[in-house]
Amino acid sequence: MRRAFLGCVLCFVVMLSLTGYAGETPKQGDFFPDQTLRVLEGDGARAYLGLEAGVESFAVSDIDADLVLVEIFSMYCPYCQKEAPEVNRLLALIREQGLGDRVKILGIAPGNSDYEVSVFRSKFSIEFPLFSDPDFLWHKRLGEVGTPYFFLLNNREGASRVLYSEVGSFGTAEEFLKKILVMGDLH
Amino acid sequence: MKKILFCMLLVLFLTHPSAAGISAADVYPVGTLKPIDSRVKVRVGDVAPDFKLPTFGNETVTLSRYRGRKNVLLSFVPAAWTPVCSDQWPGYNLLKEEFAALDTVLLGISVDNIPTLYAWTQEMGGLWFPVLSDFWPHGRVAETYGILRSDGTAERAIIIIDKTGVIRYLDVHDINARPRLEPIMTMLKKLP
Repeated sequence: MRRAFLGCVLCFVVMLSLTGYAGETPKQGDFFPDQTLRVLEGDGARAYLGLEAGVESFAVSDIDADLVLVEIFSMYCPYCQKEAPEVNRLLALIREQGLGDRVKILGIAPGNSDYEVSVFRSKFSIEFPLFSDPDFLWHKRLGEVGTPYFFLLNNREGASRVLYSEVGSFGTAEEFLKKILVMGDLH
Repeated sequence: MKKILFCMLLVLFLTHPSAAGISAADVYPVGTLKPIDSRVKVRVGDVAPDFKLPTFGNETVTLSRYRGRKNVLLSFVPAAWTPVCSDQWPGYNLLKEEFAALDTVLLGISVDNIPTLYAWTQEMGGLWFPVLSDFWPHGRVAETYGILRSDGTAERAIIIIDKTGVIRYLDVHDINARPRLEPIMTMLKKLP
């Protein structure tokens, strides 16, 4: 009986790990999940994110930057489509202000395949790395947030700590960059 | 012990990843549904049954008017204001040029009435392709194709019809998940 019970417990733990941990959405002050992202060959992500050559997967905390803005999006989300030009403008402003090495942006697309992500990238001429999450593993881990969802992360301490965690449009790129600089102590 | 095992099963059930896509505040949660709840009446190789359905602005669309001119992609969705459906057509909204280049007309079809479809697609920011209402007689076209579910909604289905009016691709999809884009575009690229 005891052996059967222990077997059930073991089975439960294995199955739970397979279904993916249903996490809560990280809020300000929380650590961002250390789950890994897969780098696709030839998409320029390694160089932009400051990853070592040959790295095939990485955690967000591995990114070589003071701050990382993570957008959770979907090709199928009309609000993400509407927001895309503003996120592009934010990237351009970051570069114009000479902060390109200190503030990095990436996108994660729950339920989207690599192909669907490539459509979104192409349609909106997106220059920062986008990653597919076809099986909703990230989505589950992040508390099944709506889209677009933005996390601003402090990446300075060898871990990614959340500075901003909000669903919906961030407003204008200019105003949001000002917020980023204050929240991230990048005066 | 039974109680402990029941709790474990409950936790597993509640933490199983849903394929229901991304929820928004203004969509109606439907939970996980029976994946397919109808008996399909058409097959690849059949001539697609003709239909005439209304769309916005007192217009009507007749399937046979495209015969000899365009390929047609029928995208049936179960119901307006539901999670997966609200996360499907906005993606196709990005593909106007691609469909045009592939000589293909996209027709969205739902069993909802026209005012509902109008409000729903406006919330999406508008769509470039026609959205047809199979509301009355309720679900007649879906029933003709054998994809009307027992609760009166349609299956989530993709049907590709070539220029001769023949069905070349049929995907009656799990209602809880969005069909992948790749096989659809791959099939369209194969058509003459």
